[in-house]
Amino acid sequence: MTQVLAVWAVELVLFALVVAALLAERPLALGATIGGIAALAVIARTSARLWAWVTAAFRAHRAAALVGAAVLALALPFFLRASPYWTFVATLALVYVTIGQGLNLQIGTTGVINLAGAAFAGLGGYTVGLLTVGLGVTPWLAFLIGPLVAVVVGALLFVPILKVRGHYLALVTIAFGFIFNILMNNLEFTGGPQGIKNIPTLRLFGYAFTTAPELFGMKLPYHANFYFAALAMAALVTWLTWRLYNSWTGLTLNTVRDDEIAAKCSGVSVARYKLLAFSIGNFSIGLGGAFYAVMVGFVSPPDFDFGYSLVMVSIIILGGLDSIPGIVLGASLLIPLPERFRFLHEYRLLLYGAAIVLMLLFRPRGLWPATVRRYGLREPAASFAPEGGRR
Amino acid sequence: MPPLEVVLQQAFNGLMLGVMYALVAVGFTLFFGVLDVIHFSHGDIFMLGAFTGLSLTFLWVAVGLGSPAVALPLTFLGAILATGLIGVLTGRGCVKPLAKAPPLMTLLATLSLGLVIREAVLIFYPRGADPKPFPALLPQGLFEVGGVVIRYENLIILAIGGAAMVLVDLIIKRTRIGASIRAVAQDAEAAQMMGVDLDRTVDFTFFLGAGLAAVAGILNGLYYSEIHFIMGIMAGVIGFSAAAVGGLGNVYGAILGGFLFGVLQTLAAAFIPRGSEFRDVVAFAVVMIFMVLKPTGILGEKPIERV
Amino acid sequence: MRDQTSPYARGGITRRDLLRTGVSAGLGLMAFRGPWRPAAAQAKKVVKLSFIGPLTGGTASNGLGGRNSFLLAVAERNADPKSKYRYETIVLDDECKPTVGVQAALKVGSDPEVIASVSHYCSVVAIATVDSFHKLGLPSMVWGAVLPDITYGHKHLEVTRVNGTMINQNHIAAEFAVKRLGFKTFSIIHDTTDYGRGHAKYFTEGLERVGGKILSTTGTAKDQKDYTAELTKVKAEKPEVIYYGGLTPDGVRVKVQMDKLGVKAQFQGTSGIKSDTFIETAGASAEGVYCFVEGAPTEKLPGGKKFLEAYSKMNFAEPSEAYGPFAYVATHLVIDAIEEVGPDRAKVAQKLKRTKKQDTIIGPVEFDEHGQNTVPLITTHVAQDGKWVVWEDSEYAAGKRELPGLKFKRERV
Repeated sequence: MTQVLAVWAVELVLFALVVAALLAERPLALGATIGGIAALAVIARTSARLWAWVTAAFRAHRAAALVGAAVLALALPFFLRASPYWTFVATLALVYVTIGQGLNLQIGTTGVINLAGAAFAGLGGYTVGLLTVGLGVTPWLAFLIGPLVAVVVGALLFVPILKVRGHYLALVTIAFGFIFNILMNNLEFTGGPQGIKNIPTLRLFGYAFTTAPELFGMKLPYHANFYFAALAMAALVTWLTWRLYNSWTGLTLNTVRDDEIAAKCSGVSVARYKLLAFSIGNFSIGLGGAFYAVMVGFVSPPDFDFGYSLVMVSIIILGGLDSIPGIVLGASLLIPLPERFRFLHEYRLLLYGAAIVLMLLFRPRGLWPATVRRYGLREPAASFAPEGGRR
Repeated sequence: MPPLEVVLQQAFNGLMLGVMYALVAVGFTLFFGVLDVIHFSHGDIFMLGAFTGLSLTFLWVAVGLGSPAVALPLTFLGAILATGLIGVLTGRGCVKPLAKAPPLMTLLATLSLGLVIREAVLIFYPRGADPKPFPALLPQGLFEVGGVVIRYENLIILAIGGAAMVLVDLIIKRTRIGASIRAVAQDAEAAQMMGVDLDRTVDFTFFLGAGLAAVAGILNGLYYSEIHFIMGIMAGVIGFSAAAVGGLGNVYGAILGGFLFGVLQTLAAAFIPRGSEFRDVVAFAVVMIFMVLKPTGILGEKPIERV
Repeated sequence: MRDQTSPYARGGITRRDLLRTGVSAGLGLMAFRGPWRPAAAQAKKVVKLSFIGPLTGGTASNGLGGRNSFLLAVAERNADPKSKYRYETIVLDDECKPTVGVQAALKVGSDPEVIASVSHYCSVVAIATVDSFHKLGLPSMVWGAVLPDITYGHKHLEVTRVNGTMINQNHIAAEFAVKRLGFKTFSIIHDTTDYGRGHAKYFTEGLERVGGKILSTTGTAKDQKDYTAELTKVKAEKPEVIYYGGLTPDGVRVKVQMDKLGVKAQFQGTSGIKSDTFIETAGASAEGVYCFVEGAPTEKLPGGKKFLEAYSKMNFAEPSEAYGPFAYVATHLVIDAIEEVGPDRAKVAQKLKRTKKQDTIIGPVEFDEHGQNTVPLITTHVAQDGKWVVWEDSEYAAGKRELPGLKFKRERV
């Protein structure tokens, strides 16, 4: 029982630090927050036993940890209610979680490099825009069709994916991304450089998502509606990806990534699985893009250029390739943090680039590296642990 | 069908553009051949080379060496040295430590490094956001042949560019260090067992690649008489594409890829209706088709997978 | 797989940890310094104004010029003892990207101390944030984005604009080229952003009204380096004028490469090339280029010279560029409104919608019912001896020099 309470206590402390880090403006509050973070980091490193105990507690009480995290995630908008800006950023982070899971399935799990993530998100977003504004389709329907279009257009890359490998595949996806961006910019029906505006928002039983909700007596900015919707979407996608990862399909995808020839020799249809992963991934990415369109009400070519594809890839690498919780962590850090450092003005991008380089040099496996699958075992199998003697 | 002189002029335009791309592409292919990495900050090193060259021209004028005949070779030399050193630093600091990591890491790391270089120029070069004029160090006259305008400076740029590529080829084929590069490219372990100093070879490769980028940058500045801190982005993307289409690891392939791109873009802009808007689409579409038809590039080697 | 001998197993700290803590502490200290507010006692109530513009990226020079002008105006009002309030500034970068612009709008909109915003140079960003400003009720005056839809495309109260739309500029430009200078054939090159496309569209309209002939219209990507292909194609058409719709970096390239290829035509541009950078970078090629800018020439108005002097006194690192004066005027108009009706967003928005003022450094300002300043005045500038000179004052107008385009036209006959 103490373990469960400890898990919840740790989550609460982290949550408090996150909220404080986002909202603290005055010097005292900032100082306290930084002090708190530094203290936590020092404690985590110096006391290896404490760290081990906490990690074991989390591992033993997964369900409780998830419940706690869910409650806190639902509570976040209430703490951020003074700031539509941060609610918006939090929602954006959740959209990137959705996109990240899809992209991770392609790159991390199956080894299919895709540097055109922004293009597939753009396909979802533009489809929503074109269907709702151009053809008057209801937003919910357009929202569901958007990702399908991303999947269908992704079929254009099927042949390259099967025939081309590694750096060359990266190049093909980069080329695809550029082609998409230029076409969106220069074709008339896509609105040209101005894009598509006034995309109608989602409505649930008559309740428009752009009305500011009032819950438990507190008035939240209307972006909170999108936050909750994005939370549901991200949770669903993460859960589905997790199930996929832990199934035979997930294992097969990993074998395709690790050794194609061995996989083929074991009877795996490499082509089928690569295309499957690519398409499923594109669905998630397109879903994120479609959500973005209804959230902001506006899509334009600069919103989906190569720079954003790089942000998506950064999230996956920094979070940890093939690591589903890593994606959540990566998106949660990589989207709000640069925003927090906007006061650096023109130095921001310089430090952002430097930070990524440093991260890659010192932590190449990411912040939450993928772990070996455990099938029914609560602890690492004794025969695999080098610290012998643990039964 | 447009008049012959227009076609010829456009062909010449494509040739010049091709030289620009080829010089950057050769750098990409060198790094790939030796280290198996795509050094994505190469485009921004190219930009850095141009800016270094520009700064040096101011220096020569300040110390009284402003006459073009003296300033030009000094600018090249100085920029090659300075940029080459920066290239070595990037190699040691950023690329080599990640040599064993998955290629995606190096891609992201070098891309981020490119961002750092670009932002550094923006912030630290006075009024870095503005395009800068590049001094006209080459003779400015021109002559016309059948309606085609050929400037002396274009010919000189072609000559210098060609000489640079030939020099790189000679270095790789005829010198000891070049042999080490080829050995490491084939098999790093075996090369080390034969007594090749891996670190020195890698350092030299970065120096060579960055130096070549500096030459490309200065030539670019001379050709367009203008440089801008974002000139490295597209140059990098197209340079990589050209090197890949030509076959990564093959210097001639990179040169071929560069010319292919230059000519393609120019022809698309010149002769296809609304072609200028879509010149990049045409170029990238061709890349995609090429990669499908010949996945390892025109002159690339087919990797043989043995089971 | 745990290494038995790793420092973590031993319970120690590695150098990496120290590095990491040090870096985070360092960054933390920087954060600490950031929003620090001086503890000095403030007698007047504080009112916050925000500035949003592209401070990084390809259009940074315009964004920075606008920002500096904004800061100058605020500094002037703070130094004025008659001001009722003390004005504090929040400067945000929209990176010329719509999402970032929306975030910036949200950020300042949700800060109740921010009463108004002077926003945007990039049209695509300005269009994206119209909704956000409206929903948050924050009055926003656009200082640089020229697309008509930004004010005409909606009925919201909050968004106003002090600079002109490109419609007027291009109609007058067409009249000048055809009726005043006598040019007949035009080749249009424009960049494929909304800015370039918009200019091309309205210039075409203007030409058709006055009987000019368009030989071709070519779109090129922004920041494209090599224009030799397009210019060779255009050269074969033998136009009298090449009109370029786009910004300074590309304008420079088109003009310089035009000269290198021996294209014998007049080069005409929009306000996008009316910058010191254009002349500096194009060098000798810039001579005889003319372009059009909304508003009166800064040096000519009573306040204009003062603006330029005051601007240079502040020692900003970047020049004010073409739209700096508009940012400056927007700031002053916003502060005027706040001084008059108090720091209340709704009241300020109401006041700003129908702004009317006689003496600003860009000339008389009058907003129509859409909150759009109908700037009747368009100034023609020509590059003469390394400087932009108002057409009427130039030696070209006086007949002492001949525009390159007119010279080519004469020689052709």
